[in-house]
Amino acid sequence: MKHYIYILVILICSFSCSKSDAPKKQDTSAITTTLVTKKDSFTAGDSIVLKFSSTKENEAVLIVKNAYGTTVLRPKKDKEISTYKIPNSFSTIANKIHWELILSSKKLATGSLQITPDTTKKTKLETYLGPRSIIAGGSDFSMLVNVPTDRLDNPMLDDTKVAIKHQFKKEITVDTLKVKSLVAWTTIFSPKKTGRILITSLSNGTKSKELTSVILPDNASDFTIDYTRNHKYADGNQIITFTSSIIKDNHGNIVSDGTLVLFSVKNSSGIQLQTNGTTINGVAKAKLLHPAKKESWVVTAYVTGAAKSNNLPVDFDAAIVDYTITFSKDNRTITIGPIESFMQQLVPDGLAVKAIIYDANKIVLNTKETTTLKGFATFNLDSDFYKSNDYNITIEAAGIKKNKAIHLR
Amino acid sequence: MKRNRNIYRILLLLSFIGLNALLLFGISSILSYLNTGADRASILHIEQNFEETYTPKITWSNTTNEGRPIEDQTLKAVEKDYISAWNVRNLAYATNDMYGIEDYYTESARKKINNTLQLNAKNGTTLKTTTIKHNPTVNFYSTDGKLIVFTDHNVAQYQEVYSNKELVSTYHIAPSYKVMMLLEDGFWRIRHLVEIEPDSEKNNPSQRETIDAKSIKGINYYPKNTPWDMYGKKYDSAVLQKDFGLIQQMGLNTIRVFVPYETFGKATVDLKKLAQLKQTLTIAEQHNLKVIVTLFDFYGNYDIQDWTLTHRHAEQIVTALKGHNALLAWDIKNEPDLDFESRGKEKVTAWLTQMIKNIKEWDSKTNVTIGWSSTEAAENLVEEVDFVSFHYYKKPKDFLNAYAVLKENSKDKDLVLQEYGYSSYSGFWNLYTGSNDDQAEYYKEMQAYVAQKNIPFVLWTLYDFETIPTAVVGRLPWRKKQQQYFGLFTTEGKAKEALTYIKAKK
Repeated sequence: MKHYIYILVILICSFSCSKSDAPKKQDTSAITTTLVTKKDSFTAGDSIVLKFSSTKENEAVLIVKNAYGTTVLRPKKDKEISTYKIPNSFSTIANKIHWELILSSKKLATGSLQITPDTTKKTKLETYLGPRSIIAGGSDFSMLVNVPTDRLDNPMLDDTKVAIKHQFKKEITVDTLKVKSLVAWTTIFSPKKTGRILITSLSNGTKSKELTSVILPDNASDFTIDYTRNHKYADGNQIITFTSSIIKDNHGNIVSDGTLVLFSVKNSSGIQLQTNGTTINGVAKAKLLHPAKKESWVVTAYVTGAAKSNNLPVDFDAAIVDYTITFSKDNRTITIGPIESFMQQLVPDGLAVKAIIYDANKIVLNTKETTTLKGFATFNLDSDFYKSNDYNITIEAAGIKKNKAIHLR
Repeated sequence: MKRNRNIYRILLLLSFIGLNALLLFGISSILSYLNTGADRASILHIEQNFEETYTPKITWSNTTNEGRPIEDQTLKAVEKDYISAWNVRNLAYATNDMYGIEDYYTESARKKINNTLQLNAKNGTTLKTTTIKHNPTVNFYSTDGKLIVFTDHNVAQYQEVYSNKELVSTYHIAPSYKVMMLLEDGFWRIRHLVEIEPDSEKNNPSQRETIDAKSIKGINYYPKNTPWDMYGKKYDSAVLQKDFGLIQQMGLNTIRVFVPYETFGKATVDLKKLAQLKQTLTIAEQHNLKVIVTLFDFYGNYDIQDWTLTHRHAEQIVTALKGHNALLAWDIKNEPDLDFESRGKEKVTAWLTQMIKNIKEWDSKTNVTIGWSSTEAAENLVEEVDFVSFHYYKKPKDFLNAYAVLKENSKDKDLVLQEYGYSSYSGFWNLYTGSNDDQAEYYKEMQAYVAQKNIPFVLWTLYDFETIPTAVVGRLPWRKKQQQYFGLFTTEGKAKEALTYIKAKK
């Protein structure tokens, strides 16, 4: 008996679980609806309500669609009048709204509304300026793009006016742009002089912030160079300084500080020496050590890829005219000096002196180098290496060569 | 007493062994659990090859715009992000979740979407949306390369609106939009999206000069050894040469072949297989055979998210083969009505309608048809197809009636009996009731009807098959066995009696 009760309970349960919520189908064939609301263009932010009257009370839904999305609205009913309130997320977007009244998959009515941007209230203005650093001379430009929107972020219609002003030095230029394809844009070409252009725009009473475009100098034009030095002698000790003229671009603007200038020197034997400097206020300086022997230099400076200078000749006279060589008793210690400079003073320490040692058959055995100390340079020919024999020796200092035949004991 | 003790001993021993086994099993499963986890290679963050998920057709037209001339590379970047913006928005409206919107919409544009999303979430509204075609033209590109405005003309869109999971309405629309995008954080993001008046559509119902379907006398074709799998490594042109020669000798003039969707590479069609398909058509042409190409074999998704992928698949095949002399018709899909129940009839027909529209656009000269599985199903989409194809596997004696009903409802379109046949299987699963004679009898009767009404026919099939892939009729052996013996020739290549009735038709 108990079992039967259980079975009965289970059966009842299973029946009650089965589907009972079949959709209430309404007979749609007889229903016709008409749109009561006649207005079909609105301003963004307006409250929009669509009213329909139909022959019979119904549960039709309104599908609303704009560029950003679609939604389904249910009516507020007052007998045969159904009212649909367009939600804020649609009524605040200036755009086309397409609507469709649907009852049980049947389209009762369709239509569209036009919502225009709200031009009565203050406009919002987005400005995009770029590039923000341009080169003087009138071929480079910054572009200003204005995107005016109404207070609800709806882009303004075509032909909305945007006034722009830009100032450079004493001059202030005013221009009016019109919106086309969501934007109002213009190009602002660089003037001949360096400086800053300040730009602002204005639409429907709203001012943009101040925008700045920096005008940088154009590429350098050709320039001249000169030099300064303490004396004209090739003492291998003093420093010669090369200086450029004030380097300017084609429009007379001083090139940007830090412009790299390369000084290239060609000496009498055709060898290139290089030094460089960067400009400050258009002037570049670079330094080199005097040569140690009589030389004729030709100096040219470059701003790589843009400009070059004149060819500057620089001559150095010999500082050392002659020197003496003395040998020790066994000829194994060679002393050169005193070496005297242009005023018969002892040369500053550090003058390079070279000795080349040959055997009797003029075959090079060794090359020794040293520098002077207090006017003298010394070479020692070690007996372990240089056996007692005849040798030839060449001494070279300050470009002066001397040959000696010696016998080492 | 002694026996009792032995029993206890055995029980004790067994329980000891059992306990140990359990213990070992437990330890080992803990160890193996600890060893599972992320693939070690994932540490390396190797670039993933993302499968394409959204591929609407996008065609940029003249690119002389105001402002800076646009570079191809930028245009590619804009296109990619713009399409992604549509994709994430489609997904967002399907789930009412903002996921991904951040990447492709600027903050202010995001707000507008979010407002509607929240409203929809509250009301239980969901949308299924896809776009089919975009035709953008650049209006303006800024000098600093960070702002672009373009007009996307007549964006072909399909939308299904659901309220509380119930379909409320569907749309095919083609509005135009003005779009402004900004380059932010390396993404092109939509800043403004404004619907504008659409361009007047060039609605030229292009004159379709299609080949007459009335003279079709054909056969559904798969090679004997590689049924449902004839491309790729198993493709053998020598076999096709031989078989098509045989079909030609039988006095037939048409074959129907199948293009499997997935193994052909989905949205990016395998070019090698495509070349094989093309060669198949060329070989058919050499034997004076026309070809009905059935697309989307084994496809069964129809989901709106999947639309654009299937479009690209079909586009590549259709544009590659259109104009081929042997091409007779595009059969969109084999027996799509079988998916009505599992996928929903609306969903399937919406997909088919769009696909037909697309294919007609890509190839205005070739017939388009759908291989419906029965005469009843063939009444669907009669307007859209160029000729109506139906399959018939019921009793021959009912054929003429069914045919008459369909003829009545098919608005004067040509009808093609696109699959019919009889299995000569005789074995355990049908209690040894079938035979080659039955098959011959079937064809005798059917061919008589076909001749009487002058119905174009494509029979099933040339050979018996040794194996049937599970995907075709499922795993059940009585179905598989049945399917193996539909051929006019046995697996050894011996002609069955039924062949005489086909040949006699010459």
